[in-house]
Amino acid sequence: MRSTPDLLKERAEDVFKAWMETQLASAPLRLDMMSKSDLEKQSRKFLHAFLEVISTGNLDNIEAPEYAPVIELLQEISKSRAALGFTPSETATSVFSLKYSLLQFLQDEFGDTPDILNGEITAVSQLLDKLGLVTFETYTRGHEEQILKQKETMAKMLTPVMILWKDILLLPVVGAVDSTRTQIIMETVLKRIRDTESKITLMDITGVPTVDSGVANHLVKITKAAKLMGCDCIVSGIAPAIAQTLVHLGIELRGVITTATLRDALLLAYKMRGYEVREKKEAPKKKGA
Amino acid sequence: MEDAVSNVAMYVARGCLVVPIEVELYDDSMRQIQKAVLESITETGIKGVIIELSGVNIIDAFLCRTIFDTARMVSLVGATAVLTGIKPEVAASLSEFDLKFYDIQTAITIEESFHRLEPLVESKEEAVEEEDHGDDVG
Repeated sequence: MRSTPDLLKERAEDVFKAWMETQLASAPLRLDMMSKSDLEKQSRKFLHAFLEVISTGNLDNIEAPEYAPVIELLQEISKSRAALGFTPSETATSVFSLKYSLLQFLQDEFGDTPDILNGEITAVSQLLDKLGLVTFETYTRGHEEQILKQKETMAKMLTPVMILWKDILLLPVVGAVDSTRTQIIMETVLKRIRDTESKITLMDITGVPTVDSGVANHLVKITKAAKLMGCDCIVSGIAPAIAQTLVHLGIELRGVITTATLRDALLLAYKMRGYEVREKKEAPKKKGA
Repeated sequence: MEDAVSNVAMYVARGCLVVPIEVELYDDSMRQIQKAVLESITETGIKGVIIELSGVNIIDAFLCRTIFDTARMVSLVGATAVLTGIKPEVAASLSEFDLKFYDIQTAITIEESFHRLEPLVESKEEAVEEEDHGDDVG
């Protein structure tokens, strides 16, 4: 009697055909996203690697070094399919479907000896279950990496600090404010204050959609830290709704100068620094008049 | 204790008492500095005090309160204190504590601190001169 790896290797072409049939027949497979020839190429490559590795006799530990090529291939397949828009279930189903195709061959070979059949079936299905899960893990990990990258990009994008005038910085806060972002904003703005030795920071919160007690506390922290360094903070862009919320929630903004618009804040900052803004008395002459 | 007080490094510049705090602070050393500053004000009649904190890398809420309290005591004895040189990382960590310092003056640079204290220092010098005149006449 042949061993399972030998049997499968011998009948590799039949196994491949059976697997392709199962894959093509399974409902979730999306031929609109991937051509049949691509699928065949991928499947053949995987099957080949799979049969190679089970011939080592290790049907259990997929963390062993001999499994590295198979895992790598699976991760590659999983990534490329994710990029094509496949769901992780669809990718995993591909792997699981190999299990059903293999079972048929095992049945044919070991049908007469139920004891051996049982053992072989258990081993093969456990192995393929593990491999199927690898595709899931790869998919999730890829997603997490992407989310992390986006988060970092957003954090960087959303905290510009500009020099508005000598000694005056502008910090526009746009979007939701949580504790992580507060920390990033604080770090950025405090460093800028030190580098530019600015005396006033205008924090414009027109772009903050909602201000609850959490957000207010975060913003107050930034103004406090700036003040400790010797830089006054003017918070502008307090919309009527925000003013109402702040009072209703009983949030104390003592020590923080607030204005309705950035314009008022800028005028106030000029005044505090001893600048005077006034209109020219003569109307500007029109060109060509 | 006397010795400790005289060991506190302070100097007078442009009519202001500058108190550089260089080392990592201990509760005790801060209390000594506090005492030295207050005694110096009452002795010399100086009107402006600059507490310079750029040498401080780590600070806790208690010490920070002691420093704020020093500034408050300074105003009780008739002078004005300005804190300066607080590092960004120190400021960030202090903002986590629920400290109240609306009555404390801070300045971004030591130059700015002098600038802030200038009017007070000048008026004080004038007052001294006037007193001297009065003595002469008397």
